[in-house]
Amino acid sequence: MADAATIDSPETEPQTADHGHGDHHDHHPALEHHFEDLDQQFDAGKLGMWLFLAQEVLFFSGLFAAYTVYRWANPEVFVDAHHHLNTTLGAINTIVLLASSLAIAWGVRAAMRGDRYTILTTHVFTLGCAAVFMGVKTIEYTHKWDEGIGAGDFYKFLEGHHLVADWMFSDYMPGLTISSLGLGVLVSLIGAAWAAAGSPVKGWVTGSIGVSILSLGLGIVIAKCIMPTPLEMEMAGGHGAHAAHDEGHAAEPAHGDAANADEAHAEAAHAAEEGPAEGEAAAEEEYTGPTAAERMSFSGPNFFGIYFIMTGVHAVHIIAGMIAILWVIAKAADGQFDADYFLPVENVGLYWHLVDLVWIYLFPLLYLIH
Amino acid sequence: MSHDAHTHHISSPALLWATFFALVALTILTVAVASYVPLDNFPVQVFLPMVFDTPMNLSWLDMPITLTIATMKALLVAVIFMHLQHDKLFNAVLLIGAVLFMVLFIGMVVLDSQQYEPEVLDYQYDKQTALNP
Repeated sequence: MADAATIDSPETEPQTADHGHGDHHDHHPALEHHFEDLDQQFDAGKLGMWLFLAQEVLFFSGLFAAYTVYRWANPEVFVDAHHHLNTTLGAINTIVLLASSLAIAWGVRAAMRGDRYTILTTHVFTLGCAAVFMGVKTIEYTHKWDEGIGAGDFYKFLEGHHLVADWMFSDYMPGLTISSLGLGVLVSLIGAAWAAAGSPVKGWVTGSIGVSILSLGLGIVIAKCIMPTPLEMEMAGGHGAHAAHDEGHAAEPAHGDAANADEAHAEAAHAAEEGPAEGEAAAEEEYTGPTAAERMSFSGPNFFGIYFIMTGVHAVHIIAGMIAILWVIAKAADGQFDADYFLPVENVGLYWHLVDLVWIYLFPLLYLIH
Repeated sequence: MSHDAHTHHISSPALLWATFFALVALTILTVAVASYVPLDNFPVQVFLPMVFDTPMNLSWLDMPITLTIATMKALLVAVIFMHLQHDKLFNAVLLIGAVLFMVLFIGMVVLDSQQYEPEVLDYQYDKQTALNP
């Protein structure tokens, strides 16, 4: 988890230092000239944010419409394909996002009370949660890529076969994890040192970036602990998953009949779920990858098209939110917010909650299909 | 710098924590229902022994349960975390309006796709027979 305590706030300036920029009661420095007063500016800005959020809901509704139509028409494909998604990882990501939402709500509360230090710590914590989320997503995506589970033409998954590819993400994952953890600690320390040395904006921004990089590594570690690859299971003297993975190499290919192959796939997935003991008996017929005829109808490649676009667009929103939160941290460290003016904190918070809302629906719809 | 005319409502820490724990509890509930409750072979006879004596296939309840829990979570986030309960009504109207239009949109698309499903199936059948004569 992100540790906001890695950064020591110097609290060099008293809370009221920024009120010195001119006559506060007549003209707040943040008040734009085209607004009557700060209240009007706040309401207008917030209304704009809500309009944007309404637009976001409609934007995502296109993706949800695609999901609904295809799930309605092909429920069995969704049930089969979702066995490739790890429910525990999805649940962890949900709770991580909920925690970040709590932190942001707490930050808005702090902003209303003019508590600059709490704004900073809650937002750094939120960034950490967002990065953990992205770390877990990194493992989910790369794991699927290495198995050959991609969208559309990138779907080369065969039950029981190991994909041979020139590029396997898992080869690079240990290096990425260690460098992410190391670099994250280093950058966080540099940020803390800068903040302590009396440049709060530079210090807090650098420290936040450090915490993000560190949390990305932590997310990768958490996800790896829960969902190791079959090879890693083997190295650790593993059991279960791999055995189920391997059975049934030998069925005759190309049944031709799509329905038949679908059934075989269902069976294999079922066997994988039940584990090795009953698996051997169950998987006599075997799925040999989508044939040209199968590609005509909705199948695994299409499900993962929907999966990758929905979660990918959501991940892009997470990244955009992280940039926005970084901006809020910079402004807060600069002492630009007080109990009268905290509109950016409020609006970025609203945006972050919406990203959370989208995930609240994505998680059960993609990970909990039955 | 007190604004007597205008004060923002500040959420209490207890409310924020309670909301968070309710959200986590609902997440765990939805995972538990999906993982451990055998909806396709639900033992109704245990709960209503005087009415039923065999398990019942309740898998049609899966989506309603999932979506109800998700909507409860979404409402908690919108009303408490996004502060709609003390916000201007118009902001809530915007969100509700967007959701209504989303429902309308998805409903129309689903109706339309059902409408053309026979043609799609015919097309797929023709293509498949062309590929496997």
